[in-house]
Amino acid sequence: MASAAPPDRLSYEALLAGLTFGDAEAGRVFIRRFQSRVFGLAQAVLRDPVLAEDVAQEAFLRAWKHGQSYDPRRGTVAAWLLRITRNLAIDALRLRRAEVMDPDVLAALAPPSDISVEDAALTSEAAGAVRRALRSLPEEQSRALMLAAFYGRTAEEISRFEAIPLGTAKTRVRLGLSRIRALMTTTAEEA
Amino acid sequence: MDCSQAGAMLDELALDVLPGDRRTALLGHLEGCPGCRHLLDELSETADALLLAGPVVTPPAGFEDRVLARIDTPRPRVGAQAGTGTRARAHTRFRLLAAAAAAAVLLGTGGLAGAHLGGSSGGHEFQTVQLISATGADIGDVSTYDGTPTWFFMRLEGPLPNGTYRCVLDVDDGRTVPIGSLWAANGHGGWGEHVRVDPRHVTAARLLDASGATVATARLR
Repeated sequence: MASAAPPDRLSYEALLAGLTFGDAEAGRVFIRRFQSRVFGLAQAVLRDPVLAEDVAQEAFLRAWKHGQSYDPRRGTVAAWLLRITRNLAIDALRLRRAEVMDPDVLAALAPPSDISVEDAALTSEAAGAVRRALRSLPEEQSRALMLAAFYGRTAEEISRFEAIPLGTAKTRVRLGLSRIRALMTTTAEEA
Repeated sequence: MDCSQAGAMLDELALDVLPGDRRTALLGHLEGCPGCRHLLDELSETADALLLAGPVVTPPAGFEDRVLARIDTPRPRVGAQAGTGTRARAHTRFRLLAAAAAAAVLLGTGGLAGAHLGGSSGGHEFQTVQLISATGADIGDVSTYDGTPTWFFMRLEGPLPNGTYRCVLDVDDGRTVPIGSLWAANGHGGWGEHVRVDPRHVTAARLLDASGATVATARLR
């Protein structure tokens, strides 16, 4: 007989499958596990809680409609959902022709104190390592990387936004991402 | 395009900010360059890690109910008639592309862990059971939900050879019910399907290789 185990034994992939099948209970658990992360990202990009909720809701609807297209070779369920959220938030920004980009979104990266148990499970050591790595970057690299990673800005757009040459913008993004990669690798090896 | 030129754009592709013209050229190079593809995988993983380290903010009260209400809203389906959210998706299949690894028959008796999520509607419940390989290794899990619709989901996270595996359910009346195929790649894979079998009568879920041999089993009863 199967024996009892903690509810978090149900994998994110299985919950996504349940959501995609139209299973309300699986959908509820899936939403609970990711809602603070999805809403937090949308709000960080949009700086508008009402619009952020619209985007966050739409992100879960996209997950429901397109769950079958999820490919684990391209990343985790969480990363897939957050990429959807980021792209929706960027689209919403562009629709409003808003220029609320704030690369100091870094300031919001500190883990909050009121997150749920489900979200706490996702606030891992790895995320902490990434935050530390981001803070260790030269400020100009960090800003360029944030503009690309969170606001979807191209090198050309970063060049204009930061009033720097295009080549400099590309270099800052490339060095920033490479540096984060290196620091993450070092942290993983030390662990 | 050579690897040096490609390498100068991989970070922008990983961050999904590479403009269309250069993106097309880079994707063409990647098709024939495993080395650059590997580097792209690493940078994409880093880009994902940035998003995963992003802000975590509790949404306004009632958020999940509002999302679920929208999911229950009728919507048109491509190639099928419209229906309610749940019913329209009753026959949806869910496939995760992934890797696999080999094995032989299993039938281990130990290590069968189940997970029961409380609060499911109508007395239905989730159950998750470990998927055990012939050598006794934990190589994934099988999740079930005995509600409406009833579904099974098989997840592989362990060493099986790349390839396609058939997923079957053993029922306590002696039947073996096929529910689809799992494509395993590099140790990962998954398959889910809505089924018309009462999970309470399913004794095991198995993965079969091309020869029909059982390579992994999850015992549900």
